[in-house]
Amino acid sequence: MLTRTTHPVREVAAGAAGYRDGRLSLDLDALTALVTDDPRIAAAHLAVVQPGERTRVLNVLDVFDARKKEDGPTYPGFDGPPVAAGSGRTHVLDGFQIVASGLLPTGEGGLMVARQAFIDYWGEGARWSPFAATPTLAVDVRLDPAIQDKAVADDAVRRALIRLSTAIGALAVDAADGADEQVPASWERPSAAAGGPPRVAYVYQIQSQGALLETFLYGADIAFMYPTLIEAAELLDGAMVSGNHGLQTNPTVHHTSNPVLRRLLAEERAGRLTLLPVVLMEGHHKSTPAKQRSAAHAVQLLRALRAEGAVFTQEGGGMSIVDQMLTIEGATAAGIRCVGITYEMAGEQGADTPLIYYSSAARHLVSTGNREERVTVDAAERVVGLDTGESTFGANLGGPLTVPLYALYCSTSQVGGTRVRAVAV
Amino acid sequence: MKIVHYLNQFFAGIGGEEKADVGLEARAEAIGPARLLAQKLGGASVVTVICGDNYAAEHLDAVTDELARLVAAEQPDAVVLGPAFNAGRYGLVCAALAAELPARTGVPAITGLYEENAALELYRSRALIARTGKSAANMAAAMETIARLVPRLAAGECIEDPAAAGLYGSGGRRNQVVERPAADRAVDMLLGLLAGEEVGTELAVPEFEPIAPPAPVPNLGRAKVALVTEGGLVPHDNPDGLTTGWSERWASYPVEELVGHPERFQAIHGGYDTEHVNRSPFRLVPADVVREMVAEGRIGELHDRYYVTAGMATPVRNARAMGAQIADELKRQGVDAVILTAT
Repeated sequence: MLTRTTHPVREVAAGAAGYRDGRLSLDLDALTALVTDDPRIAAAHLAVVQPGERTRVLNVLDVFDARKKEDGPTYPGFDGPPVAAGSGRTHVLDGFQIVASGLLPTGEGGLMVARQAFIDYWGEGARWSPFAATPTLAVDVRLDPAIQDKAVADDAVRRALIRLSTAIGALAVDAADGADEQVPASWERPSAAAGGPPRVAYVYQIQSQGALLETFLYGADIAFMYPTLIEAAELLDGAMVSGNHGLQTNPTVHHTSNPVLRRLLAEERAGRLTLLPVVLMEGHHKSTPAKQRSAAHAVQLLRALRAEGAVFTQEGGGMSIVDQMLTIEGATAAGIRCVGITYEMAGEQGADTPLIYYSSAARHLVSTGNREERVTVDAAERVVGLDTGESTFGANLGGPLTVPLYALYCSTSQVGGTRVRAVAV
Repeated sequence: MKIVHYLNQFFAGIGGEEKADVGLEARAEAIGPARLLAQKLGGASVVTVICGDNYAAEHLDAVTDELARLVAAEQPDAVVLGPAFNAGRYGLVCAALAAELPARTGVPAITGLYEENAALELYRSRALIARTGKSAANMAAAMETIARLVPRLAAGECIEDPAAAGLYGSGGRRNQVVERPAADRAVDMLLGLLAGEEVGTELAVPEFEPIAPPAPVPNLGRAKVALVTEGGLVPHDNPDGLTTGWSERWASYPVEELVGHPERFQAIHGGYDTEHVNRSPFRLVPADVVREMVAEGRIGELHDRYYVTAGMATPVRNARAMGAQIADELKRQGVDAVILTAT
């Protein structure tokens, strides 16, 4: 049983480090030193950003919450050995986030580059963003330019974020204002009685395609992983960390506070469903047979779990929809009720075919929006992050911009952490 | 209420296929379906315009001009075309006129089509098209829908929810911000499904037209073969400025240059790991192997240029247009067959 103790942050400010009664105070100098405590990082600029401020954070690489496990590693495989997460007590600051900004080496270009998206904390940009309403510690990481290995550079950023997350999370460990949320393992749930609430699974399809487009489970990337089972409590307790900087990415906070899992757990507490272990699968297999094999095995796991229904999410653009559709098709054929969440690529005018692949079995889909429709945002008063002047979004990233929706970080969140959707007109 | 109502020779009661060549004629009375609509509107002053299917299809521009002049002169509250149900020529003419007349005259126009009518996909983004059954047996229901819409259109109302009003809508997608996040909506949708409710979908899966594979090349040993790719292989300085994806343009480059200096080429495509292609461009554009096969007599000839775009996230519409342009060019060059490599 995981006890997730959430502390409601109401105010964030720079000052002497501490957390008390919803007020989080951050020692920016000490935190800066914590980030640069790695020879790969040349410098870091930290800033507190409040919702409503005319601030734009550029080149967003990842979003973390602040958390600390009382006993054991908070992100097993990174800040300690890869022991199973999902038990004991973990403190999480609710209503606060850490946003990393940085430019990673691009190498030869092509697919394996970090895509650049931004967060606006005010106005039109904020309206479309899942992260604009949360007080933020923005971290502009400047890597040693001598480091050209993408994975090495990315690892430096990830470990710096983990240091920040746990150091800030530790401020709340002794605070008395926490609310406990119990997340049981599947073997700790009561056996499902006949006629009881329906047995529901979550099919969590993620991307791990190589450097800058990968995802880590207990510290190891899961490229070409065969579908497997994992407890919701493990995922909500730091088992999975993002290293994915594609256009369609699930940032770390969407693994550790996955919106679908949170909702499923809430419905379970209300007695409306029984949550089964999560079916975890990678969604970028490179051949049709590999995709078919992966989808078929995910369906076998759903059947072994005797799932009656499942929610399917994905990560990554393009071919990830193929894996999702194949899995939905197999599960539907097995008599399992399926609901998929998907972003759309309907072109700038919304007139193009929104999905590159589909199965007619996918009869129930939830949209997270057409990522190519344009959004116009005003000039920022403050910019966090480096503007090289060479962005495809414009020569001056602090100025007024008209950009595709995907330029606004995670606006089409594939795990459903967005209020954007596309509708037929 | 004043209506200009367009009908073909068949619905106007003039005759069948033998009268399909009659030209445009306007009558200051409600005829056939126009009379039914006038009744449902509770009375209307109607000008019925009649035109043969062949004449209209073959002289669409002239018919459009003439009808636009008539509408401008008559100043009706709305123009109604058909409905044409699943009719081919009639459907195309009605839909084209429904798209064109409001732009020319400022008068709203509406037609009705069956969902499988080919004119629907061509014109739905530009015309108001009511959903109808397959044939004239569904005339009463179709006119009921149109009669409910005509006063709203005449009043200048913008139809916010086309599906609820019985219209197809443009078929396009528009973003909005809603109260509940997608995760919550998905879980609600699943719980509804499990409870046996009708939960619908936020995105109906699109229908792609099937592309039939072409017939085999009869004699490859005598065929002129061209290499085409969507994998984004361009000379190092990308002289035509092709984009990494979302492409609208294509280019062609000399095969001789590629074979002589593969190191001067690079893949700019943004949707796959380009490292291997950059090491050996022939992995993407197999000019080396095809030249060997030409030498062996297994392929007649290799066309001297290869054709390229970057397919990543490229709208189907753009891909279709580029495909047609490249095919035209290849035909002009006397190319018989193509090896198309995709990533």
